[in-house]
Amino acid sequence: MVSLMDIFTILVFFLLVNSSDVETLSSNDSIKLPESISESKPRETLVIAVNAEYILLQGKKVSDVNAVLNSKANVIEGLKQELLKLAKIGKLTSEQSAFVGEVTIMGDKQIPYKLLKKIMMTCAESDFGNISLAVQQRAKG
Amino acid sequence: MRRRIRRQYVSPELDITAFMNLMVILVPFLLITAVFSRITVLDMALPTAGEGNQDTANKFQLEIIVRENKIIVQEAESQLSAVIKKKNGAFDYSLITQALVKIKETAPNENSATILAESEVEYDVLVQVMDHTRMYQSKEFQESTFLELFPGISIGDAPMGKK
Repeated sequence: MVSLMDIFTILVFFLLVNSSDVETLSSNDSIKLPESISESKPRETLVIAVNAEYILLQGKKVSDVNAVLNSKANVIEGLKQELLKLAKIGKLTSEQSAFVGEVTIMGDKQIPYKLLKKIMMTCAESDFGNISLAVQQRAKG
Repeated sequence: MRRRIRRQYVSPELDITAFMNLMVILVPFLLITAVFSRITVLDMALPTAGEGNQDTANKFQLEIIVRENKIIVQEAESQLSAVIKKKNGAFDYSLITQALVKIKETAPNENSATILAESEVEYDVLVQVMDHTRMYQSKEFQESTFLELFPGISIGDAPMGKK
């Protein structure tokens, strides 16, 4: 009985320590992130999620992947509109300090560079210059 | 004397039922919330539109061209280059590291690299190339250490050329 209590106590402390770093990005089943050895933690930013079918901004669908891939334009209009709206709000709320838009792109492994480029172009045009790419941390060997 | 006998007689049984209840609830709860796959980010600086090659004075120019079936690593100053072909549907990324380590030896103070990708290249390949350009895992010492290669990565379009 005492040993059981010991196990539980150790387990509880271990899990408490483990869960102390709060996850800021929620993973999605439709998106398989690429693996990387990067160690920098995600910050609280806007999240653009890209899966095989849709482009989602903060969980809201803004564009179809196929439509974007087929279009010749370098900028994704639907995404740009939404980003500009958010940039405007951001500029209003941060009065003195210059507004620097930060955005995290959670892209599926399979998406082509073409699509990624268009998304990044759109971000750059809408005053979101700081882009981070979300990746899955690989267990170190 | 009497007291001593009594003490031996009463076994020290702890009542831990309440504690156990707490643990039983707490353990599954923490197990659910525990994060086993950590998500991290790669930071990137976007080249502003129309910037191009601004410092022509700097001869060092490392380009990693990622095409659908091969990766070309080339550097202008030391004329070092390497071509990595796709084998069995995957690149051998350690070859990139080897090439980059050589380049790093010729120019230890440089840390910028340009990754030029073709439009059909998968995101995963791109991230792997970025990973291997950023740093490498040294096996020279007993414990593996991460050494910096070229962390200043910018991304661009691959020039059209012969396949």
